[in-house]
Amino acid sequence: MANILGGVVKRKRLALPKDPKRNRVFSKALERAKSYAKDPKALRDLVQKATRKMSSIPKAPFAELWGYLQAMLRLMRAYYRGEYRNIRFANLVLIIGAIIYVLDPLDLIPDWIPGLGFLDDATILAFAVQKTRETLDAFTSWETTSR
Amino acid sequence: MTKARGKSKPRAQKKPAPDKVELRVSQPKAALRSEAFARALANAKAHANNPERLRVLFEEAARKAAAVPKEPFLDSWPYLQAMLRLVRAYCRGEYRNVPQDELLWIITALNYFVDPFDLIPDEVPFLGFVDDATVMSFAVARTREALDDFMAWEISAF
Repeated sequence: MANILGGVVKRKRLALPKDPKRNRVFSKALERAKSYAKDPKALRDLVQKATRKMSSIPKAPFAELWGYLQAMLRLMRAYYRGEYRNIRFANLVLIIGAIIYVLDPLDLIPDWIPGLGFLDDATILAFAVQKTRETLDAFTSWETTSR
Repeated sequence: MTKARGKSKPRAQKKPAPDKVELRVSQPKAALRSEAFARALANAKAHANNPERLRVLFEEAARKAAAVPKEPFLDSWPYLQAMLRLVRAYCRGEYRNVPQDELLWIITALNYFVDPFDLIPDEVPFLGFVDDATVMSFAVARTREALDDFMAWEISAF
């Protein structure tokens, strides 16, 4: 009995890793994010792709974090245009990685599954926001004070 | 006999419950019933029709937003910033695609935010912005769609 129970618990953990670092799709996204962060042209293409896709992504799973998601996109745009560079490389990679993950239709829970498809995306976004909140807040303050 | 007793007992117990519920519900909304909120709401219409006053409000609110603690606002903080950008875009005539009611709620929230002598004066440490955060989340709940539309326009138009 104990063995079976143990097995069940282990399997559950593997299927739904709560720690985003254990999510393989996300670690791949972070790897790709590094090359995007160094290449403004690739970053521009990514932002444009994200802009086109944004209207087809449901807002409900992201709840209040939707505002931060939009701030990330504007930050990436301001970055590739060279308007705003006041951001640490690690944070930029994390932000780009989160956006790549949200755009990826075949992540941990595939995006076409109704009701559930964007739950994992919301978890990843919450993780990225938690890590980069200060950076994002500094950017939005810059937006309203210096333009 | 026993039946009648059984019926009368729960009636007597039920009475005190509603009072408690009412207290719990009304407390967090104290900011919305305050004089300062009524003032903010009354001033909003005058602001909406006067681009110059609206611009002054934006500048004051933007300056204040850069200086105040963000913690009380939690996740409505990016929406506060979105309100500021929307008001600026509205003043400049870049973006007018916002319903009048939503615009009034946004201006009301910013009016309240700018007011230093609202329900809990802003200089009170730790608590000074709790009431502002209540008003802000109330306004965000009412204008969420307009703000989301505005942000979608922001990333696609520029």
